[in-house]
Amino acid sequence: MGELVRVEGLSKVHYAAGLLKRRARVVRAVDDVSLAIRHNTILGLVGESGSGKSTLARAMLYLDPPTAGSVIIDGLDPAALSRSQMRQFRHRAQIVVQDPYAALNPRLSIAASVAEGLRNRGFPRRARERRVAELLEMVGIASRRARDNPQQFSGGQRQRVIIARALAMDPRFLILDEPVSSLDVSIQAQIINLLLDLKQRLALTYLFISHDLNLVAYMSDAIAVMKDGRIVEMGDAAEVIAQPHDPYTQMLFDNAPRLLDVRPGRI
Amino acid sequence: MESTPRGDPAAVLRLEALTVSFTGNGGPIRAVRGVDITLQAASVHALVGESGAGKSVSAKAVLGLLPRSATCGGRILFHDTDLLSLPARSLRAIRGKRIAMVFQQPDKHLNPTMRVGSQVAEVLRYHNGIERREALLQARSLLDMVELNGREVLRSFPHELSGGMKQRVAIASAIACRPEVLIADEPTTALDATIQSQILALLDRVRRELGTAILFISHDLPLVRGFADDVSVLYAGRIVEQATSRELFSCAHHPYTDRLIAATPDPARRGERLAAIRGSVPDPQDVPPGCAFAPRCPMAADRCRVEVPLLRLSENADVSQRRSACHFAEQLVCEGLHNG
Ligand SMILES: Nc1ncnc2c1ncn2[C@@H]1O[C@H](COP(=O)(O)OP(=O)(O)OP(=O)(O)O)[C@@H](O)[C@H]1O
Ligand SMILES: Nc1ncnc2c1ncn2[C@@H]1O[C@H](COP(=O)(O)OP(=O)(O)OP(=O)(O)O)[C@@H](O)[C@H]1O
Ligand code: SF4
Ligand SMILES: [Mg+2]
Ligand SMILES: [Mg+2]
Repeated sequence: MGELVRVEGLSKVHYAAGLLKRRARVVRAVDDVSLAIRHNTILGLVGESGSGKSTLARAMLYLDPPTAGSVIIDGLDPAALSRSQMRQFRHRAQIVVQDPYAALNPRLSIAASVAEGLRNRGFPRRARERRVAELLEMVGIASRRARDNPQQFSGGQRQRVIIARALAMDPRFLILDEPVSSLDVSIQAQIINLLLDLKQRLALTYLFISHDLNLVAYMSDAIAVMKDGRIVEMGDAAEVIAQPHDPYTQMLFDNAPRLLDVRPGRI
Repeated sequence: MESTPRGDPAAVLRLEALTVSFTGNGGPIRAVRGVDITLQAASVHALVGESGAGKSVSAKAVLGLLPRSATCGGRILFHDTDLLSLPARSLRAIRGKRIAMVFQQPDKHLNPTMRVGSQVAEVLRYHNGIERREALLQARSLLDMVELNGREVLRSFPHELSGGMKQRVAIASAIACRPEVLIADEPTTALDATIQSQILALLDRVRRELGTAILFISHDLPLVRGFADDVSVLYAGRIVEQATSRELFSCAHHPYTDRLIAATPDPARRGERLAAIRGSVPDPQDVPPGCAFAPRCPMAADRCRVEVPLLRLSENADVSQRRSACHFAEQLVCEGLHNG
């Protein structure tokens, strides 16, 4: 299968307040990044805090449009879209972020949170209810709990609801920005298994951002390493782990504490 | 000078049947329900477990940092002084000096309005009563010791430093009085992978050079595997397994440990499904009777739901000092559960 996502020369400059208030400091948060993600695969994105991963994610989806460069996702170029096409683009490409405690509206039942996007897409009430029940079931939340508010759920359950909400838009591409880093390992495993199942069942493509090198190495088909806004290494996951070219990548993976002794590609 | 606890010359700190409960609206919150841990000089004992297991509460009990709503039981023997029965004043003389701590968020114990040097010097002045100039000199060499540029960092304010640098400063103040015990509660969780390994290397140096016993709290199993000598696995306020790191990670003797290890992603597991543990950790106000892990345990039997399994030495002949709190510990076949 071909590419679902192509990014060329993407840059994003932030203007941060300088120490002397007048002069704004220019932060090149993303600096000339190019990458491609094949259909139905996972690109893992790692890099130290502040290296620009989240900025890249938001720029790719035009949530914070890039200052230079181009993006094509599922054949759509968000820079050249009419309003209604942009709405379609927003459906096809979704983002799931880290904090399951902050991302849901505490005043809405989880069913209402999931239904919101469907309403915007013009689903009539009946169809909406049916679809919400389906989606909650898909992520493993009992439908009898659909009327409960987020406060009544654990972190892992909330993260499932957030995934259901993203899936409500029938996306083709999901950016997962640290989707499990606030969860315990036993719950994290549930979410990771769920994401891998959904990828197979719904033929999804992921950009998976995480600090956890073991997790990225476990689930990605390809890995990109970011440093100071640039991609310093990118390639097939097993190769990047076993034979990184870039010294920073090498240090990163060599220092990663490991649970098991075997290293793929090094046996 | 006090003698060490009976029968164990290297033991510095010993928790004996430690319990901690809080007064809550719906009845007592039993956060720690009987924990026994022995810390040896110059070694690292890791306390692992999921969120809410009681790791931080146990640490705070040792440091006397629990709020008034907490009630403690059991004993916390520092050499042979029971810290739980010590007056607050005497405890203050020990805390920060002979028993020091490092937390996840270094900002929490750095004063934002005070220069770093003065803060580190403060610890020395308070505990050792040395005068300011001498304290600042010592602070500078401590900052050098944690691999910061002492001369520069001495004059910085906390906000001028990165997260990793702040954690180094926190360690510098923690080791200022050459503590016998260092309690590190998730000291690297907020840091990047590369900084994380630098901080661990630093803690390891402290352990070697000062002979400090480290209680290392973490939920990161790969990290613990490489860093700790001994491991206690905590679940719902009780230790379910205790062993050397090598033993524990080569073969778990408790279903919970086993499931935790199997749930941890690793590049060598590519293509395999992770073993998710069904359900979630129990609410401390509603812990199931019998074995607290029973509702989530793949091996649970009727007995588990009524009888609390005690932490006991394994009956398997080939195992040394490892302990497990499972009625069926002897039936765990390692290869089986682990990889399955
Ligand atoms: N809105 C903003 N205004 C100014 N600077 C910003 C803004 N957002 C991010 N930055 C800066 O851009 C750089 C990249 O930040 P970004 O959040 O993308 O990093 P990241 O790789 O996602 O980090 P983390 O792993 O901590 O989430 C950082 O230097 C950050 O301080
Ligand atoms: N001051 C308090 N009052 C009431 N309950 C408390 C208090 N502090 C902690 N608890 C409860 O005690 C239990 C153990 O908490 P503790 O902070 O020790 O967990 P932990 O193992 O450190 O978890 P984490 O990995 O999330 O830090 C939790 O259920 C918590 O809600
Ligand atoms: S005692 Fe029973 S429920 Fe508890 S861990 Fe052992 S087998 Fe599982
Ligand atoms: Mg980010
Ligand atoms: Mg804690």
